[in-house]
Amino acid sequence: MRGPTLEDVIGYILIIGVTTSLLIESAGLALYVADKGTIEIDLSDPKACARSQDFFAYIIDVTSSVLGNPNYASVMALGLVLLMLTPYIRVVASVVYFAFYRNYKYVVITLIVLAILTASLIVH
Amino acid sequence: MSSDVATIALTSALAGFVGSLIGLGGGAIVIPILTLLGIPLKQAIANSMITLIATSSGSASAYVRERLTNVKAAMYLEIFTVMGAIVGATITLLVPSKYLYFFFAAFLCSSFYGIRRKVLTSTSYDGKPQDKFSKWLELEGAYYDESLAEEVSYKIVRAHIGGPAMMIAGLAAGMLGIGAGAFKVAIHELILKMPPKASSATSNFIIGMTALAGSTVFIASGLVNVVLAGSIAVGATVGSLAGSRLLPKMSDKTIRMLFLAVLIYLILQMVYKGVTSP
Repeated sequence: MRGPTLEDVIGYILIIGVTTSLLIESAGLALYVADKGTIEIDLSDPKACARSQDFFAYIIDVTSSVLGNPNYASVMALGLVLLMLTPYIRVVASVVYFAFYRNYKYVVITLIVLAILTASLIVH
Repeated sequence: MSSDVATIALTSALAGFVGSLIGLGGGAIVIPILTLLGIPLKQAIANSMITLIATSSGSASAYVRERLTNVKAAMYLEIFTVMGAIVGATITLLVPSKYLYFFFAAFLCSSFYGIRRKVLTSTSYDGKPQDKFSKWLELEGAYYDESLAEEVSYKIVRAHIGGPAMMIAGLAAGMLGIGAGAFKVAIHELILKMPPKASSATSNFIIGMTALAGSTVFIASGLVNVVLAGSIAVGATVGSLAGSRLLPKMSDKTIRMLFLAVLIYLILQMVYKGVTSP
């Protein structure tokens, strides 16, 4: 029986990741309007500022904030984190796929992309 | 001008809709509109860049499952676009906004390639013998072209030139918070000799990764506002999905006129902003 191809795996990762993150973003927007009582966006609102020097530590912060004390800022930050993780997971899945089929040339190529992205997500 | 959730989401939806119709991509339209609404240029760029992951991934998901996307070519080219986008986004943080307006206007001019491109057909691949490096990278592909009712197979050439050229596309995308799709497509077709449909689909696929690379810099800079980014992401994605539904029903002439009108307006607006900004 034919297993899923790389194209199938990537296609589903993209659509599931984007749909989930947009649903969470929409819920966050509703929470924002309910909480603030206005639809005006305050660009200087420190709660709404998504600043992270280490993205992976930020994921843990955002997740624990959503689980502990969910509010518009943490829910919308979770949506953005999931959105950014979608292409990242797509590269990780590609590395696994090429390794499974022993195409080591493309394991190295995808690992280079993954290493650059990971470094840029951590080192800032 | 007001920057509230509803106005940002609706204008982003309109930008995504028009961008999807004319093939310009949401970012190139949404950023000039956000500046009109009073959002500072660098914040418009940073927040729009993250939302590109959403707008590009919807269609990328369909293209990749239809085998239009050349995944191996994309993985190889992403090494260069990702590096370019990180450098580009870093430059944006350092350069005064006044110059970014002019860069934006200049880069939009590369989108005129989209007009010339319409005359190309899926059979533009000229069957040149593949060079050793491209062959070593296993850069070839095949897909079924419904409009031609035949299988189109192709071999990519000059990967050693196309890769570094994609770094420039990534640099521009990272600097300006856009997909730089027209520029990427030009490299795919003119240097790598990919057929148009594979070229568009592969460019769309790479845009999501380039957007992530640029976003890694912007999220560290504190320019990303979750409410602003969320409003753009939801609006632009819904708009671009609606645009892609309408696209097959519109005539080429209408699309081309709309493309020209929008492009010229955006270029003039960015030049005006550059001249009048302090």
